[in-house]
Amino acid sequence: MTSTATSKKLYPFLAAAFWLLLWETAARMIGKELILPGPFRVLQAFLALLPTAAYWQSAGATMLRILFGYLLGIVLGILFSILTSVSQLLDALLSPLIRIIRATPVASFIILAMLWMGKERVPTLLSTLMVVPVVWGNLSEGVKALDPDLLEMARAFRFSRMKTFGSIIVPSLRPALRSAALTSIGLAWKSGIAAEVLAQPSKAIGSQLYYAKIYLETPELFAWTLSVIFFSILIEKLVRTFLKRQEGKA
Amino acid sequence: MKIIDLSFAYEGKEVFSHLDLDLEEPVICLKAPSGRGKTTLLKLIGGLLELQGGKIEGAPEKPSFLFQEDRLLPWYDALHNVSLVAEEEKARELLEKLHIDPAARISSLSGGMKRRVALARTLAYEGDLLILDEPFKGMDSELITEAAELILARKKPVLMSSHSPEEALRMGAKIIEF
Repeated sequence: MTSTATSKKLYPFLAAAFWLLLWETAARMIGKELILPGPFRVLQAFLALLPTAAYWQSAGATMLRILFGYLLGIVLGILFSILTSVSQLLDALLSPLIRIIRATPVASFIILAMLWMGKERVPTLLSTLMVVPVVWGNLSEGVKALDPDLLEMARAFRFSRMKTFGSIIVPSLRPALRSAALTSIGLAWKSGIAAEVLAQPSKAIGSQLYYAKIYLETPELFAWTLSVIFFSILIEKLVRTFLKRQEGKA
Repeated sequence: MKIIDLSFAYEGKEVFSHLDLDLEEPVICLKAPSGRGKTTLLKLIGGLLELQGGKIEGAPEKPSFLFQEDRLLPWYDALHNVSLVAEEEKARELLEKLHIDPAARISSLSGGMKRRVALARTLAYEGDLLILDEPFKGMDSELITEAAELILARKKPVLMSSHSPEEALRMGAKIIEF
């Protein structure tokens, strides 16, 4: 029993070793760093990037840009869901937008945004655009699922609007907002990076990815991609911890 | 209070029609088979449903409801639930009289305990008529006696519904069948 438990703990390491070995084997068989650099070459490139100021400036700027877009998206998503929940006219007016934004390819938005605004702002806008429909959609569903019994109770005891909002509506919607916030951080991150690749703001992970590609520095390209993954995990952890702390307060 | 020629249909389905009732006693228990519309009648009297036909003379200005379902807010503790409608001191006192820990999380309470929190909320609210829909659901005989005493101690008119003649007896209520 304990021996299986110990060996089960080893599974993730074995899995990692397997894939790294496969990667290394494939890289050796191809034999061209330009097409597929091996894991050690990528690690080398990554370690070379780490101590440079450019690396941290790019990473920091990208994080700030995307986090700002993400938060803006959450605020706008909440705002839109309030507007469409209180007024049927606004719902009819705004709801088609959500479907259009959802169905439009990210690349179209990026190119359009590049026509409309400075390249520094394009990634922020893209992150926002990805977050708004998720938050809006989740909250609207949550509003539809509000317990009519509780709302009637509030009416019976003559709760003020503010009291009903604060004591029934907000707590009822908290799980929907939480799940929207968690789902959309990944979307915001990936679309933000994609926008950076195309728009190339001065300091950005996405721009670095693009430069690595045009200068045919494939190991750097891999190293930057690795960084994107690391920061993505970091940012998701950040959001998760923040939400957990909020949950504890409630 | 007098119910005169009251008719009500819900989603096209008639609940009752041309109902006349005299509700003059201070403590009244409505008795009727399930589906007869007791809850609907209580909500009409309490102003939670709009009248469709007929009238209610002497309807309460500010009724204090105990719904058939407890309708507590699970994200708050017992005290917070009751304090939403009254001062905290009063809420605490009522909960303690009903043997409920004010700090108890709603999800940790049994069915009968939740019922008592809901009852405490109804009693804490300063209304002019207590409208109690199956008030003793899930309580054992001893608790019913205590709860009934607490309700009667508010010295307010009571309109309740119950399937059990014994519960009506404990409340000293006049049973009205319809």
